Amino acid sequence: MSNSRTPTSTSGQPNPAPADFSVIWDDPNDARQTWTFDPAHFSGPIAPLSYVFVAAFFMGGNAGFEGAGLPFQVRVRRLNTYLYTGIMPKSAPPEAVTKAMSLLNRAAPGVYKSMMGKMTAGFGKPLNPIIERFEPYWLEELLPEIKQHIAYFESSDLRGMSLDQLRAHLVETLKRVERMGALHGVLLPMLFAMSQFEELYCELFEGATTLDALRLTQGFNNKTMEGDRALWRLSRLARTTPEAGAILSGHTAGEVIPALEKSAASQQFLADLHAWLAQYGQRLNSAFALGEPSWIEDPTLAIQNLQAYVAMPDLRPEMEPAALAAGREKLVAEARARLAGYPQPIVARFETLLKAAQVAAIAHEDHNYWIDQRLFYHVRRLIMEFGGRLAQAGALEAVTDVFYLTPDELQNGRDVPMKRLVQERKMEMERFSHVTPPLMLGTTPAFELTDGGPLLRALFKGEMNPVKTGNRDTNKVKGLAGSAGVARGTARVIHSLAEAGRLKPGDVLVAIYTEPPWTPLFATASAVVTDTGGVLSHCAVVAREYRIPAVVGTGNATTTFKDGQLLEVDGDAGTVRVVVEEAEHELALAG
Amino acid sequence: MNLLWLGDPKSFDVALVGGKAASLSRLARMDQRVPDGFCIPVTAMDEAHPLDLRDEIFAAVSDLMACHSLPELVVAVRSSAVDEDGAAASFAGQHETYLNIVGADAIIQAVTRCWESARSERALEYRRQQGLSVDHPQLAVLVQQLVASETSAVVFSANPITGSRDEIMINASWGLGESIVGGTVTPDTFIVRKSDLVITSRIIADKQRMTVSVPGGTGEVDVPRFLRSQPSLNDEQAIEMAQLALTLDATMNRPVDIECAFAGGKLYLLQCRPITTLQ
Repeated sequence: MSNSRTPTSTSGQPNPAPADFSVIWDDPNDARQTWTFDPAHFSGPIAPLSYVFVAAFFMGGNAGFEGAGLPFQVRVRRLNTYLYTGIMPKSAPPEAVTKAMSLLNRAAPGVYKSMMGKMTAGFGKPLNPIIERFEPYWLEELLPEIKQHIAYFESSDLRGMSLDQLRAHLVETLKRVERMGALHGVLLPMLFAMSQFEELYCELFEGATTLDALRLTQGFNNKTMEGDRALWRLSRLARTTPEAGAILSGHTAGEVIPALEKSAASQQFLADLHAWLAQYGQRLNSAFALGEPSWIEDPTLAIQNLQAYVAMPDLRPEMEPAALAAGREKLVAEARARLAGYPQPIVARFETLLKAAQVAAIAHEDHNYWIDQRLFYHVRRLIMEFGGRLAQAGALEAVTDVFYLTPDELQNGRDVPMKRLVQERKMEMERFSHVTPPLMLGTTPAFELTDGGPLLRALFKGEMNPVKTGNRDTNKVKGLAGSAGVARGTARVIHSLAEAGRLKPGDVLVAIYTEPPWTPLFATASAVVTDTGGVLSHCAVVAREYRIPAVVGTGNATTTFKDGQLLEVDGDAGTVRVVVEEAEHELALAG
Repeated sequence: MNLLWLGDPKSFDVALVGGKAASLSRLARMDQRVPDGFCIPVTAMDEAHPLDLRDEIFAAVSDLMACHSLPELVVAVRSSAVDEDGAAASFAGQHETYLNIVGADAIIQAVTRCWESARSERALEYRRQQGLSVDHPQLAVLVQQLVASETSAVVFSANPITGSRDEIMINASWGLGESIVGGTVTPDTFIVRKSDLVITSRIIADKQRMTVSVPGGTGEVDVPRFLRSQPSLNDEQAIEMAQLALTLDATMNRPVDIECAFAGGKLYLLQCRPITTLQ
């Protein structure tokens, strides 16, 4: 997936679709909007049934925008089998207004900026009272409801349901997915809190960097690190359990569990492994990758990670949270001492934002565990249950064909020519899977927010940062400082977790984006580089917990670098450069 | 040798405690809002060793900590010149100030440094040039609780710009008063009508700089953005300051220029001078 298909027309102008991607708009008004494709979250086309669930989730998220004082709505479309999102003003300004704004930006940028400032002044204001009590908001309001929804799914005995019950459950699931989309809106105050804290810290302490500030929010236990550490502990156990250790070292990932099952001495270890999968394997490779097996269905990736860990004898301090926490508390105490003589309103604001940012740092990973991972795992379970029944009844050729149907078709099964529809839609997806989707369709934005204000700044620091393009240097990329330190290692460009087995200890992981399921790799990699994301993305947050250098938001590291090159990653400067070309480097490694 | 407390008439004597301490002491007597402090009289300088003072200072520090329920005592240690003619008051060794001194040991160290400075070659040379005695450099030292001001202000009990005797003008800003007095910040301005203490005008400025306590002293830093346009005083606080100025104006029977500050919810009086230049 390259970034070459970037918008070509000027502001406010129609953005013609490339010849192999001509779009027929269901609603002619859609052509006037801006639709973007996000290569970070979608590596290819999205199947019709998956699309419905993802769309419901996105629509649910709109409640969060309103609650934050952002007058925008998210819309999604499935265009030529790819999911496109549009962020549009709640009440669309008439064309004359958008044209005038565009002109103003060119003619009087100072006035334009001032207007934008006034317009954006209200963004995020409603979040301030939430940030002031972020801990109870997250722990006592949102998290319990999130867990309730997951408990509902866990207690749903799909196998034991009649078809009618299963159909009713489908309706209920869609409702809850939409509601979880709204709860996922915790992202807004969460990023806002971390961003506001970081900005205040840098204002108060001259010379401080963003990474300095964020150290005061690190070292807390979160679900991502909890799972990774549990896997690490499993690897330590394997090293002291001779047979299990030997099986892990001597077999391919797919053969490990069958071999453990045959080994009498490994039964406890096998039970522990299953326990890990039960707790942390209810996840897909990527939140919306509904069509791929979950880790509990196919533990290959978990086992590959475990195998890599077993081979690592070194002490990993980040696997011991106590030391990290102590380091953080020392920095907090130092900051407090420096502020001791400051006016009380400043000390109070610092303490409020510090607390909120620390809770947010935990919620950053934990919401992903409960929502992005657990919820969509259960959605897949439901889809597969339908698929299983339909395949068994002969209505589908294969279980996974169910992904090509819609919920309506599942509800009204009898009169639907399922096999034909599946065939047509499969062919369409196959055809478009070979095409590179343009990053933007419809009309390019008529005006840009030159300064979106503190909330948009915060969101751009997360996953929403605008994708950079235009790097032509083949030896170096410049991105954002994500995690401190400098490291050198062999580049391994990994486009999806399916390829993750190629990563060797000490390699530099180069990816478009890394969601939490990628994080076990951070113990093996010496550094991580991504195309997308900002300093508050999952990649950066977790890289900091692992204390490996990270450079994020590079734009096109995955197309600039090649496997085998020796890279130097500078996480403070935000740069990645080629030190030695691949051929030389491979020779050096071999010799 | 006895320490002399601010507000105690024994410390009104300029010859014993120097001009600075004496005037503050009288002020403390007039108004309880002057931060607590004590003077080390000039006579102490002649006595054998500053450590003889030690016990008294330790006791004084303990008293203050107990009285104000403080875990530690933070003070300013200032030279208080005894030679108080206009020119003499401004020479080397007579104007040492040590801010943010914490604890009895540090106080003793600071006092010693004040004395040494007064005896320094530079100071003695200046005295010779001014025709002053070099035998007995007379220096008192003032030790006063340092207020960690959240908002400081300069308050005039007459409008210094228009000359109106019916108006109180307050210039207030964040942190310690140095930034207002030094002119590095544009403060908020409140005008309060004397007759009924009604605020007749508020001009909230974009306050970009403030002086704060830092280890070993004070320093000027940027005001964080979120606080720059926020009023440094609410109406209640402004009226309380105006009231203070009004009271002192009445007591001294003339318009006054005072320096005061809010810290921990309390108003403190730091300085009070007559306004000498009014239309």
